Amino acid sequence: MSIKLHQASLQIDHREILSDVSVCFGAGEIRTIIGPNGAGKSSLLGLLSGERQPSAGTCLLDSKSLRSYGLEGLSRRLAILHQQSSLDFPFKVDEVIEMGRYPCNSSDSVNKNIVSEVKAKLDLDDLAGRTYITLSGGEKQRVQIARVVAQLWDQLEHAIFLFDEPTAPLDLAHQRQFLKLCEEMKLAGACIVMVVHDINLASRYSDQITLLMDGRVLADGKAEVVITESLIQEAYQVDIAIEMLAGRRMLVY
Amino acid sequence: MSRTLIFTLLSIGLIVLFLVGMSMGAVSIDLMRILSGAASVTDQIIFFELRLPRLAMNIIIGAGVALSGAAIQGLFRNALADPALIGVSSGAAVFAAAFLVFGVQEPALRLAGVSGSAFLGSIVATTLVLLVAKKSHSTSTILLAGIAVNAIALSAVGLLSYLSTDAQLRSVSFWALGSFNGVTWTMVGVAGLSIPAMILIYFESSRLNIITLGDREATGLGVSVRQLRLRVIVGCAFIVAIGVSQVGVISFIGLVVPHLVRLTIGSNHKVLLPASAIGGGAIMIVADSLCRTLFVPNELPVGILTALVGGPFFIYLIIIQKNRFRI
Repeated sequence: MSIKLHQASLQIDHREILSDVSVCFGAGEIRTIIGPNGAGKSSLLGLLSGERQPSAGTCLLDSKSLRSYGLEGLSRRLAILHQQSSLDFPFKVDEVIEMGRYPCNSSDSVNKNIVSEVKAKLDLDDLAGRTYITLSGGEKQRVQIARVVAQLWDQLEHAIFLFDEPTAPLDLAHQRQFLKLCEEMKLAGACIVMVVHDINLASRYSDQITLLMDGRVLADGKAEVVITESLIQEAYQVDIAIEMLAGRRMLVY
Repeated sequence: MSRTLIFTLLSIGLIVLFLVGMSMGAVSIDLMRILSGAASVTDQIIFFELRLPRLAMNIIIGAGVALSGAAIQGLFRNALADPALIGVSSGAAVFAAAFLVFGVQEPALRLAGVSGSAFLGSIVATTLVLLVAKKSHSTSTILLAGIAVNAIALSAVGLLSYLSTDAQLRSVSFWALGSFNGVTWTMVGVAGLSIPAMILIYFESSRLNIITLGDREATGLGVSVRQLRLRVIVGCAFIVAIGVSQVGVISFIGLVVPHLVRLTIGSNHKVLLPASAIGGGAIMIVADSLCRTLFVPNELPVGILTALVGGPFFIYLIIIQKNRFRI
């Protein structure tokens, strides 16, 4: 299983958002995308999810174009978490998570089981009876993550997850819980691609990191290749230092 | 509350109101005597030819308007949305007014002519809104197109009122208020054509749930947002257009009833849509029964009552909702 962009470019209103991007994400991987604001990280997820068509180049899932899967077919292979959801109606937490099961055509009892398994993984049992709009930002985010995870929970070996800044509103404990869940899904064969801003988190949890700048791939590879003082300073225009701490590369600024 | 309990309560409420509504009116009628056949011929005529079709019409119209309101609110992710936003009511008003002013003045053809024009007007206005917003992917464009079409329609009604005679003006404004006066079984039959559309909208429940997450989220879950939007808008326009063509514009039921249902039992459209339909039917019976009986022998157009009571009640809902959800 793999999803890849080959020399993909994206233009919106005559502005080049991404140019000549080639990346390939495979089964059993956690991959992170980092880069300054406006580098094209979310747009890259947009190409991978089929929401946007590349203006040049191709996007292939298992060597077939995303289009050939159709909207429904794609939603049984690929689940995406966007930065903010506009949900503003009083749904119960369980109802929101179960919406993730819509494309799967599985029975009610199967869906209920999946919802409770995913809830347990994300520490959502206490919130189960609550109404979504009364939750805090971090709690809402965990519910949305649960919805996206539930979508492909019963077919992790074919699953591709795209998360756009999943950890941003989460506290430390829930960040770790989410990342542990990602590692578990990775072991089951899932491909997980996430955009994050926390470079230390990226270097600790991901197999490979893609650093974007001005719509181009500045570096792509393991943490020790990408998280270097010169590359990070070039991308972010900030003075930083890389220190080794307990065997890990830590960014200090 | 469990769903079964909610539906049982709502249905019992609707039946009780139906029975009360049947015996209420300028002439009070003993239901037992009607059922046992002991009632006078006049009472039987009043019962079977005036009151029964009127109550049936109350339920169909109330259910249709409330269900469409709930569906449109979900579709636009906005609890303040209303079928009127997509131009249904204002389009009907323009065409009905045009017929009243320029159309055949033959009394026998007039009723059918006004209904037919109103229906046509609703469909034309909604089509216009959809055409303007065709290229766009966003919900706000549809709302903007709706606002523009409504504004044009309103000024067209103004122009027609200016051109009309006093008698015509009176019938135009009276028609626009909405009334169940003089409902016949034929009219009930025409209104009944909206029932299949209500059922089709109900089948969109789970997709309406999903679209409240956002257009992009819905797309990610395999729902074609543009197609769903088209189906729901066309379905609701059809339901409301048929209703408006038979009884005129009845405001606020489509806004208030789904809102009330959402506050008590939540937003899941599988429950929200049928519960709104039953609730809308029940409230329509109450409103129309009051209009029939408050100022006997005169009758208040029901559109006035729903707006007069619905408006302040809606403000009340906005205030309590603020306290409830935003801490």
